[in-house]
Amino acid sequence: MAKIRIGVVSPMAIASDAVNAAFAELWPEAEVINLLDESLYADFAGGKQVTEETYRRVAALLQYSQDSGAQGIVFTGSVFGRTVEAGRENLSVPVLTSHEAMIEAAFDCGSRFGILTTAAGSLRCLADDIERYAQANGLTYTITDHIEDAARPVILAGDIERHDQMVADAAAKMTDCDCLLLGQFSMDQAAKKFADVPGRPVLTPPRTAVEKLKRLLAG
Amino acid sequence: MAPIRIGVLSPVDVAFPAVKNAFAELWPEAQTVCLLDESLYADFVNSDYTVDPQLPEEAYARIADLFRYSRKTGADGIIFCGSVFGALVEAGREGLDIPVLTSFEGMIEAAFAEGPRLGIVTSADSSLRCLSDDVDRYAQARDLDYTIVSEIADGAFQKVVAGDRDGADQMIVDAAASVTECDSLMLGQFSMGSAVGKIAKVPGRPVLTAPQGAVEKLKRLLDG
Repeated sequence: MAKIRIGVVSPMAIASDAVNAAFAELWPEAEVINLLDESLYADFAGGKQVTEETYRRVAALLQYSQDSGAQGIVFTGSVFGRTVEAGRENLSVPVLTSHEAMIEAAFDCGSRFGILTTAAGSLRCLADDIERYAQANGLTYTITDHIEDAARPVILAGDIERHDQMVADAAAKMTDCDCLLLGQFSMDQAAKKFADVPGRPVLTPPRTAVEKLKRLLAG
Repeated sequence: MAPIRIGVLSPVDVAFPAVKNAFAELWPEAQTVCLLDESLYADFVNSDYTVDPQLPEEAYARIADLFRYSRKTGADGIIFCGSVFGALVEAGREGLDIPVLTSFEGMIEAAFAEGPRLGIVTSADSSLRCLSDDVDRYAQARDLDYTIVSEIADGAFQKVVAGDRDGADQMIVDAAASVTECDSLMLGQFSMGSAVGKIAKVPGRPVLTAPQGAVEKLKRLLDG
C-alpha cells in the first residue's frame, strides 16, 4: 500500500522541525512532504498586517500541496489561522490550522483552559482561534494564561535547555485547569520536562495535529 | 528603496545555508526568501539520485507553478538549488519575466570566461553527471568547445552526512590537488563550500562554486 502523504506547509523552518519530530514519533508510516515559504513572515508578520495578498498566497500554497499529492495538510504558522480557514475552502483534502486540533482536544478535556506561551502575540493568536472555534460550536470556556516572556530571548539566544526549564517551571504553577495548552511550536520539546499533573493533560500543536490527521486518514 | 528580493527555491533544505552564506558575503543588501518543496525529490528523483531524461508533464507543471508563485511574492530574481533538475528549470522558466538561474549556470558561465579547459571535483558520480550535462547543454547552445578533467572525492558526501565535515573537506582538498591542468576548477556540490578555503591555491586555476557563481550572476543582472 502506498504511504499516506501529508503536506506540512510552513512559514518558518523551526515549526516544520517540530511537526516532523511529532510525525516521526506518533505516525512514522506517513510520508511527510515539507513546503516552506519564507515570504509570509517577511511580508505579513512582525507588526505588518495580514492582507488580501496573504489570503491569496496561503490559498496558493495549500492548493499546490494538494496538487503535489498531499492527502492531508497541516499549516504550522499560528498567526495565519484565518487565512488557512479561508484558503482550504476549495480543497478536497483535510487541512488543519496549527491550533485547531489542539483546541478540539482541549474541549474534549473540559472547559477550563490553561494557556502557556512565551510571547503575547502567540497568546492572542491562540485565544482568537479558541474564540472562533467556541462560537462556531456554541461552547463556553474560561482561560487562565501565563506569558513566560523571559524565556523568549533565552531560546532565541540558543539556550534551549534553560528555555525548556523556565517553561517547565511556569507550567508547574498552572494546575487549576482541565488541560494546559502550549501556544508555540517551539515549546514542544519543553513539554517532556513537565512534572506530571494528574487530571491536567498537556496539549501541544504538533502532537495534536498529527494525532488528528492520523485519526482522519489512517482510520 | 525596497531591497532586491531573491527567491531561493530548493527541493531540499540543506542547500539553503550555502546560498544564504554566499549572499551574506557577496550581496548582503539583497533579501533572500526561501521556498522549499520536498515533493519534487519524493516524486521525480530515482533512488540513485538521478532523474529520468524524460520527466512527466507533472514535473514541468510543478516547477513552473513554483516559479510563478515566487514571482508573485515579489521575487526580482530566482535561483533554483536542485542540481539534478537543471533541464527541468530551463524549461520551467520560459515565459517568466525575471531571471531564473539553475544551480550551476552562474558557475558554468564563470568557468567558460576563464577558458575552455574545465576542471571539476564532485563527491559523487551522479553529481559529476549532472554538472557535465549542464555544461554540455550550455556549450551546445552557444557553440563553445571545451574539455573536462574531473575527479570524484568518493565517500566525501557520506562523511558530510555522518557529521565528519573536516574529513570530507580533506578528501575534497586531495581530489582538487590532482585537477590542475585546467583554466578553472568547479566544485560540483552545494555542500562543498567549506572546503574552498582549504584547497591549495594553483595560479591560473580559480576555484568556482555554485552558490557564489549564482549570487554573482544575479547581482550582475539585477544590481547593475
